[in-house]
Amino acid sequence: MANSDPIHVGVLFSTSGATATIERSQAFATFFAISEINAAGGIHGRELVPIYYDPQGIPRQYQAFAERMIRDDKVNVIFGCYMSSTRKAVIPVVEKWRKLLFYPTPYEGFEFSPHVIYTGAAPNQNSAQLADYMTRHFGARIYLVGSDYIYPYESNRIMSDFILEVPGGKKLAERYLPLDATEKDFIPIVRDIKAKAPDFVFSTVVGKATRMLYQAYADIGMDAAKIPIASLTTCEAEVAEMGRRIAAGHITSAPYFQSIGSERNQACLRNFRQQFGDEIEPNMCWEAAYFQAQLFAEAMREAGDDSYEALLPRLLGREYQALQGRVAINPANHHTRLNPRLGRVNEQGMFDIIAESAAGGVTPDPYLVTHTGEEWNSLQYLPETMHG
Amino acid sequence: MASNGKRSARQRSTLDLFRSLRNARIAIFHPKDENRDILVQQLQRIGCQTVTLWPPLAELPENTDIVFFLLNAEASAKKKLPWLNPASAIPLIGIVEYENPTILDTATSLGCHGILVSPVHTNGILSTLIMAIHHCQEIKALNKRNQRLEQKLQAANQISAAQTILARTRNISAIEAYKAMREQAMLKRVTIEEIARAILHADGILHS
Repeated sequence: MANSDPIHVGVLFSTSGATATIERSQAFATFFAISEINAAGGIHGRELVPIYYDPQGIPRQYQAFAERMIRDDKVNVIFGCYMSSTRKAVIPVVEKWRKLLFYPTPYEGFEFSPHVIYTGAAPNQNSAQLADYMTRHFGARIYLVGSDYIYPYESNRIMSDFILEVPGGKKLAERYLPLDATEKDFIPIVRDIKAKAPDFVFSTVVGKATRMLYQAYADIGMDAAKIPIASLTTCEAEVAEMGRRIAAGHITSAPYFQSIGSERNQACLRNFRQQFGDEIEPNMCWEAAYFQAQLFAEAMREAGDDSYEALLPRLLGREYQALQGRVAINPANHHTRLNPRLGRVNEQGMFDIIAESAAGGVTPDPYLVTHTGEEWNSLQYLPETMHG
Repeated sequence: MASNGKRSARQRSTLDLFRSLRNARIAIFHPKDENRDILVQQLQRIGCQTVTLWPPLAELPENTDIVFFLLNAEASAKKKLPWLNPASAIPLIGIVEYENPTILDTATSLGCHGILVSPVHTNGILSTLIMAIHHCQEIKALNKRNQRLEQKLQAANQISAAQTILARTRNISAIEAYKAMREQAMLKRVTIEEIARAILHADGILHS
């Protein structure tokens, strides 16, 4: 067998459907990483070739395309999935064929598959930090609003649990909307928020509906400086969609923001824009998709092979200098050590980083139920750049 | 309202199960193999402390909260392990190779609270643990309640019988008989059940 054979890898993100904006950014981050890997000589001279299908946000299509990639296109590795329902649909396929899924999205935890590498934040790497910061700076009377699926339920459970431990903590309401909610669905919710006047709103609304929530919130005259919306998923992509005037002042917890000042990050963003233009806004999920493909390439160079058996030992424990800082795959749970940060949208539509974890980041603990103080005591509160 | 309150209390207790799991001490009686490795690794991901032992010990390690044990025909034919019984106060989870009537009958008669089937998979371990702990606690709570109710029922029967005797012998009404018993209980600072038992005892002596 000639060792100049191209290596097919699967790329399984939706470029249509409710979550297309973020998933498109994940797909292009993967293509970007692959083009960089190939420009640097590929894997020992072998070219990486992405096999891409659009599953349109529908779980059974993720499953069918994963099956097709493995069976017909002979891929050993798939980079993909955003919503938990789509990941759950792909896992049985990669387990059955003994392949590997790289999953670059924050999710609700309580999962381990030996055939998945998780590179997005577990709750102890984003929820805990957000809950702590928001209750310290705004108060603990909260209003919860989310999309109607598992990630919001579990995120809200963690947030509620945390809030109820804080003196004066109170959950004023917990509302869910369908993923395909329309603008008018948000009107009664923002009215209710205004009437109940919480200390902050915790939103786990994802996808297209995100813009509608923030829009309706601004339209009814809510002031983000006084009562911000705190989120685990609202990122640069959504901010660009909704416009910076609507987004300014709201807060997001994520390991990565475009505004990270390192030369490496800024150079990488320039390269990406040169190659793919301004249409895609890099964000936390983009960054995870980018570094997981790079990390895969390093592991495969060492292994010389992308079969599951050869690759896995080279991945577990592997460290990588990502745009967010140093990350490492935890060998025990296959999740990734990440660098939690909190960002607040500024007048330019970028995130001012208002807090970040101590150097070294936070070890993933996907089965953690009670988020006690220790995880976020390591947060260093930076001088705030907005509103004093 | 009441049902709401109840529901939230129950949800809370599921979370408490998770919290207690975080530092649970788990004894695993199983020979070293891939099944045991998968089980131990997943328990450690969940946050439990594990100790693996083979062959099984007659005495559980101190402060064991939960037991996993290999349950097969050979093992169950051997001498009985004292901790392996339906009155166990801690959850017992069997690991079986065959899901057949013989093995499952053994599992139920030994008082297993949960079963894992080999090949053991990481999926399902957490659910089995949570359900086993939940059921073990429920059984304990129900047994306690059952015992209390039995005692109460017995006491009620005794009071009623004593009442009848007292009413007949003193030629008073049942209500007056009850009042008299209660006064005696107050006077002697004992429970009315004890007064009732004393009356029944005395009546038994007179009639024997």
